Amino acid sequence: MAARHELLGAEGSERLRRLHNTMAATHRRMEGRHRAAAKAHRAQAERLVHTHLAPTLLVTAAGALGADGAALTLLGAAWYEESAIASNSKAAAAQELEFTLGEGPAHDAAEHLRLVVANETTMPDRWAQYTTAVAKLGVRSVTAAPLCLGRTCVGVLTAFDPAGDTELVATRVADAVFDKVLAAGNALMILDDRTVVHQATGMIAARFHCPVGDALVVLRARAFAENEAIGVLARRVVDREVVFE
Amino acid sequence: MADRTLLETFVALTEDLMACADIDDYLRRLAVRAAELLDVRAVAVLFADSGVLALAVSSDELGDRVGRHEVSMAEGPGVDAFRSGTPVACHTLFVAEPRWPRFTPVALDAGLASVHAMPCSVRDDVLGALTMYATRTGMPNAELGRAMANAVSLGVTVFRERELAVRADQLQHALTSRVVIEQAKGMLAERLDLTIPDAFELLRRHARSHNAKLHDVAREVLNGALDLTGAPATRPTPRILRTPPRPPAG
Repeated sequence: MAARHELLGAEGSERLRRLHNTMAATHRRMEGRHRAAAKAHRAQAERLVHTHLAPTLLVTAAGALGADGAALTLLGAAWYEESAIASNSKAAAAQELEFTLGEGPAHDAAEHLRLVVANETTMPDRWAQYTTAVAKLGVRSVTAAPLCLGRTCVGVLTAFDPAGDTELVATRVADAVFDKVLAAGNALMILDDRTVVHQATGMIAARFHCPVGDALVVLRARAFAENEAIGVLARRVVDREVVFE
Repeated sequence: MADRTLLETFVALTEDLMACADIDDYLRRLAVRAAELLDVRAVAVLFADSGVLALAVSSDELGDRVGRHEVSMAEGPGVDAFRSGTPVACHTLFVAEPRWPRFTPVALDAGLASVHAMPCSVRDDVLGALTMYATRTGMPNAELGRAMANAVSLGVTVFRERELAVRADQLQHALTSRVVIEQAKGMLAERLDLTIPDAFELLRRHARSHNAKLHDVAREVLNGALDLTGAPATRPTPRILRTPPRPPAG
């Protein structure tokens, strides 16, 4: 038992060392490089991540969990500074619903720094609106594993309809995903299903002269009221098809 | 007088805990203080790294040498304390059948007469051991040895937490920076009736011309400190209207 913990602890510090190295290496690279070269490099990294790493990472995670889909949510310091990526459109939609409604397994996992496991029986009591909303996508059960650095939760891995006894598997898969997230560092954050939501939030904040947090509340409320995916609504705001009055 | 030394040592240890930049620095000071307080020739701290016990720090060159032998031969007081999770005491090395046949000659050669070790644990996890190498037979104060071993565990816990908090902060900062830039793009697009890419270009140009970081500029836009609509210096000039720089007069 102790040996296993040691191993985990060592893995932890190894993981940190890698993150540190990655960040240090990135800084050095950037410093020494001509602006144009840096731009090209960034663009390429972006393409690589887009086309390869993130989808692969989450598809692999979903596969390991025997799940229909998986979503990775990364949490900023404020609640409205969230980014997310998913293994497929169903997982993306389900995670977006949680973001719109402000309740669900990832919220609980992040708040309590604990693995959340819920099925058809237990979900309605915990998250009434969320459960109804994701049921329309065919989601019947969920697990959400927090990605913790000490006492800070920096992200959550959510699996939709995972197979079998998942507690241990969910924790292990989340650890593996976390390793990759830390190794990828900033590169992974380029990827974000929420980009257009953040842009729309800024537009609404400008329109109402309000803080961005309030603007996002407005956007979420509208999406909820009109029963529209927040990403779709945000896209229409950015394209100026929808104007908030 | 002994009490006074004791008090001073623990005051110094708590100060080290707050002042030291990293765990190695803290442990190095601790090893020296432990050797003095426990009145032994040298102290070495062994730690399990990836499941393998290694010498972390020592109070001096002798502690370094003997500690290294201990881990490389995989036998000795520290090794036993780590493996068993219990204190190890060897009051005298001058015995016919030594407990550690390979370690003992090295210890004797270094002038040691007795060796001792305390496990360093956090909850049920044994992280390593504090080893005490003495030139006299007998035993150092066991309670003090235990207190110093606890100070090792405490330091490891504190510095680990601190490092994790720093990493979490960096990660969140990176994420926040990106989100803030997207929000500022939207805000500028709305205020100035620009497309999102044009709003980004405006942000970028302002950051570059003011030698500022993009996310700092974005944050200023968001909190209203920077109004890119106002000052002529920061107003975007439509590409088509931009005049070429005038040649200097004369």
